[in-house]
Amino acid sequence: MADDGKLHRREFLTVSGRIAAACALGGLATRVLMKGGDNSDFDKPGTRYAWRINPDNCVFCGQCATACVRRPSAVKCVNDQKKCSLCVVCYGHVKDQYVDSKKINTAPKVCPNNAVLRKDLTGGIDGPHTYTIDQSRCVGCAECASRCSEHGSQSMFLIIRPDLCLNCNECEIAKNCPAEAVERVPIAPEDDFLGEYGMNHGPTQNGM
Amino acid sequence: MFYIERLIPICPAVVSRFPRPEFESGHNIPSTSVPAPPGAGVHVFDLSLLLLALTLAAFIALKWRSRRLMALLSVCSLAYFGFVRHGCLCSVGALQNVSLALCDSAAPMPWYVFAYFAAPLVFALFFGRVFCGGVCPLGMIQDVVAAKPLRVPSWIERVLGLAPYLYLGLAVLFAATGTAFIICRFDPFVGFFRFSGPPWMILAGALVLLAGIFVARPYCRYICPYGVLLRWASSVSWRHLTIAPSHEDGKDGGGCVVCALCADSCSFGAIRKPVSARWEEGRKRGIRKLARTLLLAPLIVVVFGFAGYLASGPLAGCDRRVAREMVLSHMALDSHADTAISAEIQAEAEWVRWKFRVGATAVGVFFGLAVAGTLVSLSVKPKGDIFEPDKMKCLSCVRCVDYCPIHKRSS
Repeated sequence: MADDGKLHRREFLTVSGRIAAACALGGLATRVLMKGGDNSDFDKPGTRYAWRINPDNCVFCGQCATACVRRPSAVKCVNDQKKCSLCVVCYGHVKDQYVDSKKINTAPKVCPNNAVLRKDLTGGIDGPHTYTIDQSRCVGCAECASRCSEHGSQSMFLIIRPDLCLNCNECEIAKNCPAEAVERVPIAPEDDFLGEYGMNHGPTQNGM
Repeated sequence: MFYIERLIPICPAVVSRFPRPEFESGHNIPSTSVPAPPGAGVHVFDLSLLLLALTLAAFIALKWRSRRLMALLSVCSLAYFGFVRHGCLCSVGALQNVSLALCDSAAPMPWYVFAYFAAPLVFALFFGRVFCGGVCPLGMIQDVVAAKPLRVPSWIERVLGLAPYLYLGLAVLFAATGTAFIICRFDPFVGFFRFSGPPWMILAGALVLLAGIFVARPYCRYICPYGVLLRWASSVSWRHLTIAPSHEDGKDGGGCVVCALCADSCSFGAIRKPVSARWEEGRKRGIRKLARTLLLAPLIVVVFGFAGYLASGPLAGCDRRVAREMVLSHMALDSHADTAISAEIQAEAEWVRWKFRVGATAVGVFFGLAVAGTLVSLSVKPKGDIFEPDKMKCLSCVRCVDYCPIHKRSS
């Protein structure tokens, strides 16, 4: 307390530092949050975002099942019913596509967890069958989607379930994905997220 | 090598292989939908909890001055922000989202992420690092294990204390260029919070915790990049935790009777001792030393800036766009064919390289400034005639308060 001048100087420096810090934070906030530019709602800052798999890039490597921080993975396979050809023998369902129609239900399955469910639609063993994927059993290993995509009608594909995804800042799957198929996309507030996941990729059925 | 696979185009089937059956019976084909993500509500809830915890921590540190309450708050914070919310969002990592949003206008930047980043800094501006003291789950998990903290020699403390500046610079550089979020990637504790993670992450976390038994909160003191910002904010804070309760005249810590009972109470070496008269004697020498350091400072900054510029090449190699271009150009060289890399890929890689050249030089200059600043602070005369917390280093954990006899008398 002996020299008042020094104390005052330090105090002045502290106050100016405080004001500068407050200005810096305020400036950062306006810069980051108020950035306008595009008219499209999609790019507007302040929207929520989610990780998703771009089905056009996906190579079905199986990393999704193991890389995710969640056990089981937040990645699940889905079968797009609008694209599925309702085949009697499904590549994503049974391993041997030459299997007898009567023995399909007991034949070895592609899915290690038997998550691909086959249901007879008409009652005839050679009629159309629907295929759905039991989300509680699916671990996202992409075995079925890989075969469906390679040989079948490309109706099965992987999604990151937004309701299961922890939305990590650094997605472990994105880090391990060999095809850069996992990306973070903004979702606009009005987007209900239904049908967001590239349902329109691959061949489309006539009239559907 | 990963990038090669990506280049093989997935042959689009022009016509469907198996035409689906035509339904005459009017069978309704179900549509496949994706479940909606949880709304922003959970984040708003988390944010309000964060603000509540920060307010409580500020009250505990400045008003109630109770270690027991602070410990209770930190256990609650660890349980909720750590184990319930899996350590994400966190203010430390949000720093990268802000850096990315600054440089890339298309990057997603929800307002609550910015609030996560800004709230602890605003509180630090007003009340000191109360976020570190009772809220941050990364700090709290170390606080729990700090059983036998040893005193770190001051020169080691100063040298290691420079590491956060480098980490902050690199984290901002990598985030701003869109390369990676390294704070999240090398977060040692998030594996514990989630009960899963790559083995090296668990191992690193275990090692840091093991070190944390003897060196209290090593991550916070020698690694945490967000701590640098908090240090700056706290150094000019409006109010701050004091060891002795405030005197009647209103001066913070004015009640200190220099009994030195608190001198060794701080596990983080954040208590400043009263300055002895020795400094007055050596004033002339001190001024000469300061002048020397100030003359040396520009040289240090230039050297580190140049080192940053030299490091920009290898650093840019971490970026996937640059790595892809490098793999492709190697392939083109090996095959001797004119498989020219597309101009787009090349231009993108060149753009990223340019950003790294500028950014890494800036990081070098920044680190040089930090080194120079540390040297200057060594030659500046410390002030103060009482025991008080070093506002920059103090984590506002309120441990020291219990050692103050004045505190005991008044309560």
